[in-house]
Amino acid sequence: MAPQRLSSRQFEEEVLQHLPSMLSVASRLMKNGSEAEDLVQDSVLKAIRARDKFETGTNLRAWLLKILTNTFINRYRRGGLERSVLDGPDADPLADGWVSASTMEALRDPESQALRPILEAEIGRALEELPTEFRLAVVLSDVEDLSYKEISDVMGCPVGTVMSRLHRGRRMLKSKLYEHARALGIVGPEAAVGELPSHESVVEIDQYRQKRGARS
Amino acid sequence: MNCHGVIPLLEPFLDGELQPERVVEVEQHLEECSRCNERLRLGRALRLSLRRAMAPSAEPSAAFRARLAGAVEASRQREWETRVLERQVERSRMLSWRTILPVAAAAAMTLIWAASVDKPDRSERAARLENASNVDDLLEEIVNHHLSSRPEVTSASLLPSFDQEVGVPVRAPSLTQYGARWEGASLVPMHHQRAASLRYKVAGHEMTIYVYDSSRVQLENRLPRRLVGDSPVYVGTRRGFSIGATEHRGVGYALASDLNDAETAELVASLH
Repeated sequence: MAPQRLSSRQFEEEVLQHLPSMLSVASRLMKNGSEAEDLVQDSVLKAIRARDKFETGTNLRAWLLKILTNTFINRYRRGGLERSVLDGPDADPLADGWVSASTMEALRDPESQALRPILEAEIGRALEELPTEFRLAVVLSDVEDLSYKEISDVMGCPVGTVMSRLHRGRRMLKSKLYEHARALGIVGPEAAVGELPSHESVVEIDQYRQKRGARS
Repeated sequence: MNCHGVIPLLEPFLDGELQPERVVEVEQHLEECSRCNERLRLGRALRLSLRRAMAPSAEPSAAFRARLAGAVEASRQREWETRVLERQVERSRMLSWRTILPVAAAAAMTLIWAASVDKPDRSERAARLENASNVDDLLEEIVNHHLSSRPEVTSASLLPSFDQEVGVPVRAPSLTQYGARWEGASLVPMHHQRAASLRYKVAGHEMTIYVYDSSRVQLENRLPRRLVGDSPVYVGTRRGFSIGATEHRGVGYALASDLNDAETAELVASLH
């Protein structure tokens, strides 16, 4: 056997070890669990058939997620991932969704354990509301721990676009999460000041708070 | 650096994508800025929340695992059948050459046609087959295959699927104690039967081990007998190549290489 070349069975076993990652990403791309499983199954079979194209020593998980993303695009998005209008240059790079860390931490570690499933469902819902390409970038980075370079390879876009999608995806996520949490009464209005008006930059936040304080 | 400069760096900082010199600058700023600290904590909290929320959807159910295993198995079977089919088509082409060749005139015509119409490797193969059928000699056939056969499969785990075609279990002997490195295998015709041809490299020498049904292919009476320990082996030379043969529980093994006869005898004996 040629050195470092895995047998097809060994390769299959390695592929199956990454099943949780594939399922996790697929479940964020598809509407329901059985569609996600179908997407994973097709991707696994493709990967096994294309095993000769995998470069030994590179990240197998990233390679599998790339196959999964391409399978998703080919089947459900013939036109590729949607190019959101937001994908252009960021009009206001400093405006970030302002939710206080204590609010986020309240969401992360609610004092009442009974709230946990509700919160996790809220996070899932906030994620679902993101445009696909932002959602995928956030999941590949925050959940799957891929590097910017690997994400750019999986999504077929430059590293700069990855960074901008991540930034905007996270920002939207924070503000949506805050809206959801507030609607549920999990956090009160005093815990955060919400999204900044886009013409105001974050560096002026204290001023902004003072203005709000003065008005109320 | 102030907040204005640090904020765009916070995400790459959290993602571990910031150049080391920038990391130092961000850390310095974080020591004195509570707002940026809060932004950082927020980023971390979001990541943790996401991970925890997504963990349940990452757990494959037993039913899905079973379904997937079935699909992988079926796909493997299809892939294998395709390969076997391709080999059979190839072989049936070779066999038809065999029947044509004795008819000299027709063969000559066909060879000219093949050389002009077909891919170059076909005419080479035809020439080889002509040679083999002219002398009709098993040892000659073994040397010819040794010189020309190329591995079709490189994975030793696929060898059991040769069993049916060869008629006996086909397994790759390890031979690592002799420094032999496995290269791959293919099916070859041998004395109107099918044999598995296993390719190895030993200290820079090409070596082929043939595995065949010893009740149908007999090599022993064509080679001088000798004993290695208690094991009888048959070793001889043809066209400068050393050929060894032995038999073990109905499975015939033949070895062709440019090693010397003593080395061949030892290697063949180790196959017992």
